[in-house]
Amino acid sequence: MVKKRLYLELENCIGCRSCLAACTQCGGHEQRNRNYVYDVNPLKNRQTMPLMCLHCVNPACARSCPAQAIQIHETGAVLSALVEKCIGCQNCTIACPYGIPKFDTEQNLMYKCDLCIDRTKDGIPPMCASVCPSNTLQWLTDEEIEAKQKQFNLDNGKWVTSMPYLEGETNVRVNLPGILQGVTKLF
Amino acid sequence: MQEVNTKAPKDKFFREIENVRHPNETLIKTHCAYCGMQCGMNLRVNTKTNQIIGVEPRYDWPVTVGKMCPKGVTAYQQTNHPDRILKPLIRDDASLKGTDKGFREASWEEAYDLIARKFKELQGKYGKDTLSVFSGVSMTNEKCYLTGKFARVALQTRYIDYNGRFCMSSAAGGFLRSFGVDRGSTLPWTDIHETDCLFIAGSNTAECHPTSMFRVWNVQERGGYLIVADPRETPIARRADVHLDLRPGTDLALANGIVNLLIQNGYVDEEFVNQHTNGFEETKELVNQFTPEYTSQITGVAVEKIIRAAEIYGKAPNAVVMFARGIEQQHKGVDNVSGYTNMALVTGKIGRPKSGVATFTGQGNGQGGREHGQKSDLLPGYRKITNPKHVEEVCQVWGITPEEMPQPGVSAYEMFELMDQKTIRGLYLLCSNPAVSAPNQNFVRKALKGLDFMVCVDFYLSESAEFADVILPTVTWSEDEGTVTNLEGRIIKINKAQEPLGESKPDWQIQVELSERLGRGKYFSHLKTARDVADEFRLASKGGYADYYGATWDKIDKQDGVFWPCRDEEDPGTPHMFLDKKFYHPDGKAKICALPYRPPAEEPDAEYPLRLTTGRVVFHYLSGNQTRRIQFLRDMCPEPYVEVHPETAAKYNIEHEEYVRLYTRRGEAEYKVKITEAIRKDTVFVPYHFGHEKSINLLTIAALDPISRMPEFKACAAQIEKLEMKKVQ
Amino acid sequence: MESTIQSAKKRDNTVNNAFASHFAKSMFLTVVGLAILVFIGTRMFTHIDLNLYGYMVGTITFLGGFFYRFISWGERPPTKIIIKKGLKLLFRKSTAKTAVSHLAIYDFIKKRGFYRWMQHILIGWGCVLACLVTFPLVFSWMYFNMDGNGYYTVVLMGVDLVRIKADGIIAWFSYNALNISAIMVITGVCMALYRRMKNMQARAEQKFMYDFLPLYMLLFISVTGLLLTVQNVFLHGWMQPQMSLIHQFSVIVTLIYLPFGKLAHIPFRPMSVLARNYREHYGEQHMKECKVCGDKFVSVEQSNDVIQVLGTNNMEFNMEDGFNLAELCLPCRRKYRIARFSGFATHQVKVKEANQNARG
Repeated sequence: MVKKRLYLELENCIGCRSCLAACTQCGGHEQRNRNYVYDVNPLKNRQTMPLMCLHCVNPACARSCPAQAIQIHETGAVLSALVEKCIGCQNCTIACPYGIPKFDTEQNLMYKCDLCIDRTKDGIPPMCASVCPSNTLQWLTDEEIEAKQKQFNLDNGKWVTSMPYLEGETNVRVNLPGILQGVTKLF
Repeated sequence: MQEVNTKAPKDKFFREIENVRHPNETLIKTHCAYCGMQCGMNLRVNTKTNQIIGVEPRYDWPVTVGKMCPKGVTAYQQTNHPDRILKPLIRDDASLKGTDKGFREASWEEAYDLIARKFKELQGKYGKDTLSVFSGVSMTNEKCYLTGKFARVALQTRYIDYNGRFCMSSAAGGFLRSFGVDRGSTLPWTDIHETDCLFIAGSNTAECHPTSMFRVWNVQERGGYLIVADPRETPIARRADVHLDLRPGTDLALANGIVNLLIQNGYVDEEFVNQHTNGFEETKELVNQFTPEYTSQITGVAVEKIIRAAEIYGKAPNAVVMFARGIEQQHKGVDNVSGYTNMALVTGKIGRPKSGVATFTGQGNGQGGREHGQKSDLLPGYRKITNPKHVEEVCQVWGITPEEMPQPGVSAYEMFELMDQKTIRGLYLLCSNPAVSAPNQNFVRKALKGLDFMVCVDFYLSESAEFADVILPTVTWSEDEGTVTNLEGRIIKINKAQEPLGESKPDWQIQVELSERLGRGKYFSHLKTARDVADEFRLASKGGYADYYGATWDKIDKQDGVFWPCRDEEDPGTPHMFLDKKFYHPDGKAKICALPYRPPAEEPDAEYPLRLTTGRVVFHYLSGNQTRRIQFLRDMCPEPYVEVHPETAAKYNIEHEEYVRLYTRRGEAEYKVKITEAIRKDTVFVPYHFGHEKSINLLTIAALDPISRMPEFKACAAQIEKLEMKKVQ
Repeated sequence: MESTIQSAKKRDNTVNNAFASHFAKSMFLTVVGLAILVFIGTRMFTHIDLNLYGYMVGTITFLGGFFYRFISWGERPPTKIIIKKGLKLLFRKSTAKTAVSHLAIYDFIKKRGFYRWMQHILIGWGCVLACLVTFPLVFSWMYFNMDGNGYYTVVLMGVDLVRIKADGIIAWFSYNALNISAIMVITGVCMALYRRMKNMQARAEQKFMYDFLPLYMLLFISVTGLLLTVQNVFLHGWMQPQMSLIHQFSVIVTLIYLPFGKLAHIPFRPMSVLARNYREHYGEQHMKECKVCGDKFVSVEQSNDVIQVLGTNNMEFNMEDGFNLAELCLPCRRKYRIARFSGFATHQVKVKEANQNARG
């Protein structure tokens, strides 16, 4: 099975929140979404961007967890807290540089994106990337991501895989808005 | 045409992906309940309880490859929703009409008896035509077909029409006039990302047909161009190479202006125009006055944008012109459609792959539903009720004599006028919610309330059902099977995933049983399954323009859908229209229409200085009767709002998220303000999915297109009032 | 990997110097404590039930494993902070309430689902009951003296506690306590196994060794325990010694395995009480105000602790805009990220974030 990654093409987002709806439908997500979509400036235009867990190679959430409840799957996915281990201290929510983990006070339990591990462990795309109507969220091999990098031909620093736009190396790849500047027009 | 290609070719977005299979679950392949995209989806059905419990992407559907919008993802929740009506409901106290009160549960027997008695009574007193049928196209072709037959053969009334008059009828009218045939798209959707230029007018594609977006963006990613004409900077317009931010209701001027530039700058395909079209010279003469400056003056679009747009479209080797309700829901909607279609005709960018014209069909079966006899003047297969030969052909299938065929009726909105005049006293309403979706709601609601007897067939108690005397529980899309024609003109198959909930029954079955009560059983009793209806329907469409005869369920399954026309068993269907450059007018030519510009029916003035335009949001579908009940969608968009430009807001001294009164000559409503620069300063926008006092259609104007009878939802004059000021007065 | 920084500080404590390690000290003290208790309970070693010595060995081994695991775990900086600060706050008023809610009636699990709560109650309290009966017997803290008149004397910690009728209700419960606990555990384990086989997410994440083995072991203990009763009552003790050995063996293996597998969450669970105290106490002290919107979102103490913990992992999220990311409330932190992506200061727009928590 070829390793695939979640890839974010931020320029494409249309703000439909399909990824949020789909997240609730994943087998283990108990009808709660674990991702976000933000208006860049709602008073000005309709630009939106998804904010997903980026699945850090060295995840701050897991490092800050006193109970070792946040495990890293062999695929690199940083999993949601193990229910039996999470002690509800919420360190992870404070530690995550992107504000991803959510906390359920009633259940005394943190929950976050696990990259639909029941799907991705078998190479099936996660729900968000499966349904994303705009191809903002894609499930690609490293070769395909590299091809995109070449296609957009961006030497303006807008191509991002980690630093300086992120706080560390991540398993998810992100491409900042601005790709169209790097596209050569057909005519 | 001899070789039957089994499956449509897979494009680059297609991936072989195995679905997740949960234990004790089976996946039922079907399509979404909502818009014309008809995205493929798998419904997850628990094999123990036989109930739908979820959704799984359908990666193998070539058009949408697993993609779904938030409505699609949550669509399955309709079926076992607690709001479902499970038994027939009867209301004895007519004074409670217009409310959801006073209904009692009844047996089907009692409901049928009551309906049959009342219908006979009314027809005995006031004549056959006192009854009417108001239908919709969010249901299968089979149901749409049978509804037309039910009205004309069982009820024997001339008054049948449908909600496509608020949706697709302008596109139909425009295409019929330009091409002589009305198929929403001249090319399959799998072509769209391969074109070089997309010209999209009046379509908020990202919100209304989101699963088209990965193809739209791909045009740009390949280096192609995207031109969008829309008064609002919608998510698709935000990224357009050229955004033509025109005043609502001025599309025809823009279309004429661009056609003029195409002609002036030598982008005309002379050979194509000469051999395959009529009307070029008249049109050339007419558009001559639409110079960029004059066009700019009418539309409010900057001159250089108009010039640039025309240049890109003219230069593009392949281009697709697309449009939607933005241009069609105007009192010159048909002209707008023909106007933009002219762009493709003068440049010859039609009748070949990767080029053409398409409309984004709004309703799930907006295409198929309008072809088979729900329209006041149409019979199955796109036949005309005014054409004796057509009538003859249909009568043979139905087993009636041509003399028994009723005359053409009137359009949807005009039916409400006849109700108001007491020409129509009884209504059989199905698959529609005009108490939200029709314009000039105050009048429409009064007309519904004044009816002597009204039957509403629905699976939820809609705003319109509140006016009914009897509500019959029907099924959701997932509890019956049949075919639907998507926005490409591709006939696809909806499959049954669950048995009807409670005592609900599919619409066709209700109509068959009711026909028997009305003493017309001999024309209907042979229809025992959805498949029986399908077989009769295919036969009835045989030989018409929209010929479905060859589109058998087996073939649909084998080929991933069949594009009509599909005339017989051997015919694989017609993905691309006009490849032979033969159009459907008698002389085989298309018509380039000379269309004089008319302003919207109601222009802003001192009293009502703003232009009000309406539309959709991504979270809701049509009148919202279905989507407002789904928790996710309700959480995301619980109420309507009015979009106002910050400068306009400053003028009225109103702030973000404050409530204001919005009013027109016809009505008023209060809305939360959403301040955004993504709208013109002279325009306000309100989504229309909400009912009762929140319905924007209380304010809209019922100015009808002369051909399509489409009301002008997209432009009328309005005014805003700050709420505190009202309190002070 | 986090322990290096900690080792330097410990030199000055004289008592600690007597031991080679934390682990050695804990182990020594516990074994001594146990010995003293046994000494008292057995009236100076006069009433030891040597049939049960296997359990004793098992218990000691378990303690070894437990301390080893707990100490290496507690050395991790984030854990250490919670334990240290939490223990100091142990005598807060709310501790009793929190402890009952978290450790006795599992309120939080009930909110996660009634089914899972039920299975926890059955397994949890079944095991507790079994331990309450077994361990006092193993260490002879409690035993029964037959006085010949159809009465037993219950001896607890060497003291004659009460005389009970041999065929009375109390006696019946005493004999059958282990049977009742076995039935509770079997029911609970079967519920857990059933869920694991049905639930898709559970199926996706579970591993045989981690998730199933502990359940099978509990099941095995309970079934063999019940069989002992069956053999006694219906088979006149046929094969009972052998079964007794099997049962004993299974208990010992489980005890030894317990600190290393999934069941470790049982002895570690009290941490959640400490964490709650930590959050409550410092939350009352001084709340951190978000550097962007001013909302109070976490205690200053916890914010600083997390920053420090991340520091020990060489993670410092200090931004050029003059704040550490842990100083932004969650919505602002997310908006700040959007700002970093888009180049526009989203976090400065004074509009509430759109709904991000819709139910499916």
